[in-house]
Amino acid sequence: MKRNRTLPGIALLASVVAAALLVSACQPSKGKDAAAKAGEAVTLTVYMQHDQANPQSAYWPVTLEAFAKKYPNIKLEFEYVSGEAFHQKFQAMAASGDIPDLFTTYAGARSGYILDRGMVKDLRPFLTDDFKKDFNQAIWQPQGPNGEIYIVSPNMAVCTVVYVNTKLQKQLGLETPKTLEEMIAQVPKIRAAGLTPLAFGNKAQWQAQSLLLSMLVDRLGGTAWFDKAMTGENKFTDKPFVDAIAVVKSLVDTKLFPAGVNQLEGPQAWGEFVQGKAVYLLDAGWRVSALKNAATPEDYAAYAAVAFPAVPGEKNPGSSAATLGEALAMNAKLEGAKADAAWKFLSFIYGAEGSAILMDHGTVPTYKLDYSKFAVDSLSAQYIALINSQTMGYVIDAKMDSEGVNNLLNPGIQAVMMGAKTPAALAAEYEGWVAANDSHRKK
Amino acid sequence: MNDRSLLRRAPLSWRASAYVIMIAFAVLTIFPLVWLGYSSLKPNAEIVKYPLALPKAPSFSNYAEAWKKGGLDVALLNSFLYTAVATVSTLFLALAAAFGLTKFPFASKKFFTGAFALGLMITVHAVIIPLFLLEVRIGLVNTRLGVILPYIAFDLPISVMIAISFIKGIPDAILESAEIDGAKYRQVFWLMIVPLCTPVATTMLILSFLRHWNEFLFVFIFTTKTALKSLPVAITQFAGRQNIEYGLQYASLVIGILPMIVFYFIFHSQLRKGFGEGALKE
Amino acid sequence: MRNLRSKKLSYLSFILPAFLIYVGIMVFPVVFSLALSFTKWKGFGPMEFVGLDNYVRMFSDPVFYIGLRNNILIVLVSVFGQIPLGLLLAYMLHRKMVRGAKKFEVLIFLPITISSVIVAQLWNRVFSPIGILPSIVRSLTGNSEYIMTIFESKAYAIVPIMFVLLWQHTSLYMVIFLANLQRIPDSIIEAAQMEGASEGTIFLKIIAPMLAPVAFINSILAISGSFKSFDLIYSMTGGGPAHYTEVMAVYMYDTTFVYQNYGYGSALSIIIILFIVAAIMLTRAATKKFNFD
Repeated sequence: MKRNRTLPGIALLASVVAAALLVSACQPSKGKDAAAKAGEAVTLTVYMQHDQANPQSAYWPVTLEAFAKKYPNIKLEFEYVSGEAFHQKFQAMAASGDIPDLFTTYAGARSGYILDRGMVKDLRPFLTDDFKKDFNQAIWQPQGPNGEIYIVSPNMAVCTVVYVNTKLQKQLGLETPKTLEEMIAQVPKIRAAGLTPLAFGNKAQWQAQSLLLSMLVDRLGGTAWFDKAMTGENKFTDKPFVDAIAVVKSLVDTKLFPAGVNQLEGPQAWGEFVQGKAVYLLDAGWRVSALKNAATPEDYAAYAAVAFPAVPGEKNPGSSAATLGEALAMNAKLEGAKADAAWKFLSFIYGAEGSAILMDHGTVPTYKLDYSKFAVDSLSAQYIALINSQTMGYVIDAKMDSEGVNNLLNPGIQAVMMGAKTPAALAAEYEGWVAANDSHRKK
Repeated sequence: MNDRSLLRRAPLSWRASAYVIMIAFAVLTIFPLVWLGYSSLKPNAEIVKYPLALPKAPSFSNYAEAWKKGGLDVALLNSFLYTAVATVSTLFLALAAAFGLTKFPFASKKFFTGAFALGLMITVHAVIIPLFLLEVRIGLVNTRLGVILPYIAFDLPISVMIAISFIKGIPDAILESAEIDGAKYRQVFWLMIVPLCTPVATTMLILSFLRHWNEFLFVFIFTTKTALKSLPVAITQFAGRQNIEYGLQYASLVIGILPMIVFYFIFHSQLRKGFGEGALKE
Repeated sequence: MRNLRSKKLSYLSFILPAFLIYVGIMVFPVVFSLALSFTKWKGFGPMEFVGLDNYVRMFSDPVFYIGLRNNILIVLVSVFGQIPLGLLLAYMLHRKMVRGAKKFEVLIFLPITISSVIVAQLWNRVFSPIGILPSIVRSLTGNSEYIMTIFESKAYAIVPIMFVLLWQHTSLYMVIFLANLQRIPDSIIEAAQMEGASEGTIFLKIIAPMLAPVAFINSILAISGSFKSFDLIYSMTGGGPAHYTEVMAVYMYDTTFVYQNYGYGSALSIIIILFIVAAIMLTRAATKKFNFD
């Protein structure tokens, strides 16, 4: 109620700000001067999901330095937290009602605790057509019930890519498999050489669901099937879902996966790949930059990125699963100079300047860049070509309620992989929970 | 030590099994720590490729980088501050409470003692969210006091219990004679009880120190400013799930362990004395 | 009269500072949790009163039972593993059965000084499929696919964690026993030796009973401390795989923070408190002779 009353005010103010921005965007050099002279410095607090020690984070200090050069009057105070701890702490902050000016937000269920509280600013008033046209249009899908846009997602989080070590492939005389059967047929040869066929780590439990099952469900059922499963017209006990779980299980049974896949942490798995101990790696698209940082240049040049091989009964051949990558969002309470400064920051880091830096560090941004101006390495080029050729399905944990996914589905997949549960039993359990509790079915 | 007594040595079978158990324990402790220690001197690539090998060219660069990136200097200072203030405050609050609960003839002491005993059963995780909301309401979040007060509160139950069991053993006659002399109770506490409690106080101090030094959750949830972080919180920055900078991680782990080892070597004889003469007798 | 009043005032002035801090910080949250445990709430928005639903749910929740079972096992390993082992180690050191007893004492004590987060990191490097222990086994047996399958067993996945807990906490009890052993005069052991008592008889029949009260205090420490296993398990396995290493505290934490089910999480935290109360009361009944008040 209260929100509704203030909304027109915010919209009005925001459109004024947006108009001002539009003017400054048309005259970039003048705008820059104006910002620099704008007198009073503005300080913004930022709570960010960020692992400073991760080699993938190398782009960030560069981005901040460039921003500080352009807008010396906007000061930023960061608190970095990585992993699950980020969410735990942020929930406590949200419960207290006292949250920073900018904070990492996920488009989807993962940030429900902050989005459902109405604490995140709808960015639409800032988003002019002129600004939007430079991005991959997929990121402007509605993120809230009334079409709200909360984040300018800097990259698509493509969840399933198979990385190939072509050097090892050649040594063993193998071809990149087109179908899963072909890949399984290579197992004896790879194992005989003392190598792991398909490196993968599922200790943290979410990987098998986000990086594998989501893609398989899309291939066997498609997004239309999933939409209906959410509303209850379809059930998670349907064939596509059960079959997809069975495929996950088959990767363990055929020894494609490393022994103890549920005890391996993600970084340990791709570490094995980088060390040349695995021929293939099943991982997310955002691993490209980490591989580039960790591998020797010669090894890296021999990596290829391909789609997960075909599984029997595909409705949606060759697809992958993707969701919007997380991004900083704005506190709904921000007004005036602070909101203005915050938008300057967001449009800088996710717009042309920030995206160029991201690209330099090996991540393909949603902002459309002229790739010919960048020294795109071979793996990145293959990756760009790959995701442009694929349709993208849903990532289950971005769509469904957290308790069902984290308490039932993810541990359940592990149980299936370890042979303690059948795919059908897991599907029945999950459907039972969703039917009784999931917010999508209650509508 | 005058051990040349009539005491016979233990039989061979006992001594042999003693060696087996002791050496097993020692190996299990030394091996991971030594491995951690020398691994922290290797560059990351070497750790990944040859996890067990000794460093080819030992270097402290991981330490320098972890120290700078993690802001470990500030964190170390905060850790000392939180631990010291909370430990000393708990000690005197617990001694005073235990004195009141043992040497005064009021019926309500049963209630108070029971209330403190109940605290032994409350786990940190059961109260963290409501406690956070409470701290937000009264403005304690993001202050040092907001960390120290819960430290004290969670340490009081066990400390009060230990102090009670010790002060009980001090004869009531001491108090009575002081009463006759017309001394104030406050004087009795500071001039008689506190000095008499020195052995148990050492025990309480050490146990408190151990608990507070490694505490993670309160500092993590209740503070958002880098300037307020403690060492365990700063260290976990390097222990992220996606992180494979093992070199930095190991170096910061060693930095986290070292102060405790130093503390232990300084105090370990007092620790033994404290446990023996103090707290835990009938 | 006036004397009594001033006595009462000083009595309160000794107790109240500690009591008020304690009550202010601890009691409010527990009462709040108790109230929340009768509601359905996702941390914000309207609270829905659901009566005993959350407690009823527990009875049919398989994950809760795994957590309860593992908690019982951890209490058992704490009370019947750490404490007897601590006593045995203390006795061996006290009787100088090994050369360099002091050095061994220091080494055995070390683990307790290290934070659980660090301990978890260390042991993960040992146990993981690419860790030290499997690497050693692989090079010894030639089986290149060896992993510690115990972590994938529903019944036994908790065992390696119990082992780490034993390693981590035994030393505290050892030091406490050792200190108290020094107060027992050597003449008692001498006398027993003269009468021809074996070492085992001396240990079990003479020394152990004398230290029973100490063992009781240690048990209280061990039971309330067994919930510290949260830190270790949370960083070592997160309760996985497939909930096999779940304990109630980890499950409660995930339910509240990750699943945002504050009502059920609060009910779990109330059950945890009741569980510790029950465990301590059992111990107390078992060692009636000691008056702990």
